[in-house]
Parts: sequence; C-alpha cells; structure tokens
Amino acid sequence: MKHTRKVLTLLIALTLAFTFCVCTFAAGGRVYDEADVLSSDEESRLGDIIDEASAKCGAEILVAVFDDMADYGYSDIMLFADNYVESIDPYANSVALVISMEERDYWITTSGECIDYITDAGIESIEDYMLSYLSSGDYYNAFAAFSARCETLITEGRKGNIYDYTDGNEPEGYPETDFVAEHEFPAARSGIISTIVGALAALFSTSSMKSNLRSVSAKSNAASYAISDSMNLMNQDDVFLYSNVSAVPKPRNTDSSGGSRGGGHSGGSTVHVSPGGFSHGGGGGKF
Amino acid sequence: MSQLQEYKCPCCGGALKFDSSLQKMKCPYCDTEFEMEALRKYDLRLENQQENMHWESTPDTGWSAEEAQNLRSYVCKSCGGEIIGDANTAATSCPYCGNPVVMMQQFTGTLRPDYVIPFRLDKNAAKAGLMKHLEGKKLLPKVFKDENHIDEIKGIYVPFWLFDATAQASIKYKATRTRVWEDAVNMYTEISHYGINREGALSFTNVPVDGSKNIDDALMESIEPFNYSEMVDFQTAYLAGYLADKYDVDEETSCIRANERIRKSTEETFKSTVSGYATVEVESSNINLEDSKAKYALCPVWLLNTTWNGQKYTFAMNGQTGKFVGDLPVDKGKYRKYFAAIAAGVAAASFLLQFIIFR
Repeated sequence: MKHTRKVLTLLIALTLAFTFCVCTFAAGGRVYDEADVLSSDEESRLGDIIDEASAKCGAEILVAVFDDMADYGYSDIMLFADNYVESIDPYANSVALVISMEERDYWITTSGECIDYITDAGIESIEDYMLSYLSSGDYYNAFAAFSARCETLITEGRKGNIYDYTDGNEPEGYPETDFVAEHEFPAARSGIISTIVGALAALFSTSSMKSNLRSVSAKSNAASYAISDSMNLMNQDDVFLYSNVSAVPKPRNTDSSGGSRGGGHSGGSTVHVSPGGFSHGGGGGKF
Repeated sequence: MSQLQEYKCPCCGGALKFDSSLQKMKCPYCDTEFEMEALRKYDLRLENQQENMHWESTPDTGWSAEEAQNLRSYVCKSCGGEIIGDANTAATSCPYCGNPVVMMQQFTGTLRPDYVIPFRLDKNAAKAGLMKHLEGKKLLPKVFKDENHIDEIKGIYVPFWLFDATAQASIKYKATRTRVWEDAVNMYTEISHYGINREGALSFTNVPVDGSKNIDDALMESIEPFNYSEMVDFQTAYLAGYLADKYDVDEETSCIRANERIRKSTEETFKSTVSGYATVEVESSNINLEDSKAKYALCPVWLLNTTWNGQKYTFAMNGQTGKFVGDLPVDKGKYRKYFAAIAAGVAAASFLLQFIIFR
C-alpha cells in the first residue's frame, strides 16, 4: 500500500512537470517574462547581464515572471517555483526568482550547490538588494540586483565564504555587491514636470514683478504708533477646558518577506523537498 | 466776502514763500530770509486784525446751486485777479500772478489746525522721487517712462486727524494643544482646548487719519509714517507757496478708522503674550479707549499726476521723509514675454537636470 502511494505521487509529479515543461518553458533562456513587465530591449539587456553573471559564478541564475500561477493550477508560490526550476533542469546548481503578478507573490528557490551557498541569510540579503525596486515596479533593476547579489553570494560561497548568520546575527564584513541601478530617462514624464515647474516659476516671478508695481495699500493696524513699553498686562489666565482623543489604527506591516523560512536565525538553509522529490532552499513573500 | 492773506516782503514787496531747505520764509525776488518766530508774531497780529472788506458778487447763472455751494471766490491782493477755489481750499496761488495766498477764514475757530509738519523736501525732490520710483520696474511700459510727463505736481498740506488713546483691553482667545503618541495598534491624537484671558492696557499716539475726502485714504496711509517729533505749532506762514485743504471729514467720522487700526494692533499685541499653543484665535475682544483725544494737523505731501493711455495715475510723496508711492501700469506684452522666457528657461533647465540625474 505504502509503495503504491509513493509510485502514484511520483507519477503525478512527473506528469505535472512534463505538462509544465512542454506548455510553458519552450521559450527557454534565463529570463522568462510572460507578464510583459519588461520591454523587449530590457529583456534582451537583462538576458545578457544574467548570462554573464551565471557564467562568472558557474551556476544558473533564472528569472521568471508569470501573470498568475493559478493559470497553471498552483496556489503556492514555493511549489510553483520549485516546479519551474525542475522543469528546466532538476539537477542544475541554480537559483531562480519566480513571480506571480496576480498575487504579487515572489519566491527565490535554490537547487544543488546553491542551497549551500545561498542560505536563509543570503535570501534576506538578496531581498535587501531587490525588494525596493520590485515594490516600486522597477522590474528591470530588481532582476539586475537579484542577479548581481546571487553572483556575489555564489562566487564567495565557492571560496568558502558563505553568507550566514553568526550567533543569530547577519555577518559583518561580508563583501557588498557593487550594483548601480540603471534608469531609463522618462522623457515624457520629465517634459510634463519641467513644463509645470517652468510655468510655476514664471507665475511666481511675474507675480513678484507685478507686485513691484503696486505700492499703495491701506495699513491694517496701528503698530507703528503704539508707545513702546506702554503695554501693561494686568490680568492673564489660561484655563484648561477639555480634551478629546482620537485613535487611528496603524497600518499593518504586510511585508512577509523571509517569513516563510521559519522563525529564528539559526543559520544555514532551510531545505524542503518538492513533490518531484528534489531538495530546494529559498524564501519569498509578497512585494 | 473771502479773506486772503499774502506774506509781503518788507524789503521789496514781493510775495514770500516758505523755503523747505532753509525752514524759513524767503523772498524769491530779493532773497531776504525771515525767521518763523517773527512771522508767528505777525500771524497773531493778523488774527486780531478784523478787516471789513465786503464784496458783492453776482452769482453766475452758469453754475448750478450745488456747484456754487462748493465754490469760493477770492480776489488776489497783488494783481486783483479772481481766484476760484473749492470749499476746502485753504492755501493756493494766484493763477494770474503766481503769488501764494492763504485763505485765512479756513483756519478760524475750530478749523484752526493744532499742528503743522513743515515741508522738508522741495518740488525737485518730488520729481527725482518719481524717476527713482520708475526705476527697476521690469513690467513698466517703456513708453510710460520715456514719454511720461508730469501733468501736475503740487505740494499740499493734507489735513490729518491724529488720535491719542490708551486702549483698555479684555480679550478672550481660544487655543489648542496637540499631543500625538502611538502604541502597537493605534496612533492617538489628543487635542486639549484652553480658554485664554488677557486684560491690560496699551497706549497709542498720533494715529493718523486723512481728513480730506478728495485724497485717497489708502494713498495717504501708504506714505506713513510722518516724523511727529518735527511737528510744530500751526502758523499760516508755513503754508505760503503750497496748497492746503481744510478738513472735510470730521473727527467723529475719522475716529472709526483709527479705532479699527487700534483694535487690530491691540489684539495682535496681546496675542503675542499667548504662547505654547498649536492654534490661537480671538474669541471675543472688548476694547475701551481712555484718555482719548484728537489733534488736527496739516502734513506735507507732494502729489503728482500723470496721464498714460487715457488713464490718470496719481503718486504721492511724503514731503517730510521722501517716501514715494503710486501704482504703475503693467505692460501686458512685456508680461507675456517675461512669462514665456522664464517658463521656457526654467523648464529647459529642469529637463536638463532631470536628464543628468536620471540618465
């Protein structure tokens, strides 16, 4: 009975993996943008960057952005990401960033040697580099930052310098990744902003010039005619009357990044086994 | 009959004028100068001198009754020419011989001013003041400055009421303080309300109110302040060579404006003693004036009139301090050019800056 169940599970997993592979990943490449969050130029340049980073660190760095993982029958981003990686090469040393836009879920999944090189602390470090870009919709820089940090972590890991918690704290003195965000100049937006700024500046300046032509105005008070030191304050009292207090609920912190790696900074990578029977590390959340 | 006073030079018989730079009376014909004290005594003698010169004049049927009521006719003692002035004209010059004359009956009884501030600045200073006033005005039509000619320039003693008073104030203010804090769940804002009371006194002296209907009140308030330490007891001799009006807005009417200004200043001054609150506003104020008195003074003002594009522009200069005011026209073409140039320049700079930063 137990043997039958194992065989059945394996068959289902293989069927799913096959379906996934055939239907979805025929396009290939290290960047897959089903959701069209990147322009074709960005996708091309990003492909070059990630190819180069992968070659340098000797591991597969992958990025995939989907409209909705539910379209593929998934509701768990971790399982979805694991299956994505396994559908390409289940035995590769890889780290993949998988995003489902509908749920705004992301997951970084590691396989092979990368499980050791990119620990839970490493995942948090990657998130530190890329999440701000991801949250603001700057996907190009988010993926470039992901690639750059992965390259550093894997390269250093191969030298034995693994980014991991020391006594529950993040490591000190670990090399930073030299990442400079690229920005495409938003000409249309800048044009509108510049026009508004120019119009406001002109309005302010010409108003000032206009007011320079006006010098006749009635005086509002008689301050110039108050006799200095003539003020005699004979009685003063300040009485508290009442107070009212209003309470506004604080916005809840919805940032769940890293939360799926379990509590505590115990070091190393939290490893799980996918339905396909392969081990993965990683972490993710919402952006 | 109307009574005119001219100041004749004892040496040559020419008409004397008050010289603002010398602060003396001076004969423009023989350059003889006379001390004001000597003329003050002369003034006193004139007041006791009751002339009885009765002139019958036949009303011109061309004037309406209302017009005639506001007109006064005088005869120049020097040339015999007829001088027409309005009901408030107190000093002017003969249009025929140019001699300065003072209508003495405009200063009799309650109409006699208590004080006068003599002119310190002359007509040339007023002209120079206008030229300086036109400088540096980028939106001023070029032709206004280039082709501008002064239609009229006149030194006039403007009647002012000067009010002295001590304001006894009892003012209530509403004030709030705000405290903000938070816990794990909520952000809290506590607003505490206070009732503030201030009672006390504040004294004012020489709060001026223009006593002439003909002259724009805002124009006169714009050339404030006068230096009242130079104010002297009234003598008609100071008026020689200038125009002067008697007041046609009485003390009771003028005190309304003085009260407005005193009330505002009192509320603001006492409000400055209310500190440590996020907001303060006047809830009610009760201000009573004590030791209030009004003085009637003549203050020196140069009035200049120009016409441009069919519109009349009036400027005023404080004849004592030289403060010059007067609204000027806007050149709409220049305005559009400046607007376009600044907008284009700033927009281009902004675009370039963004390009450098974001590229």
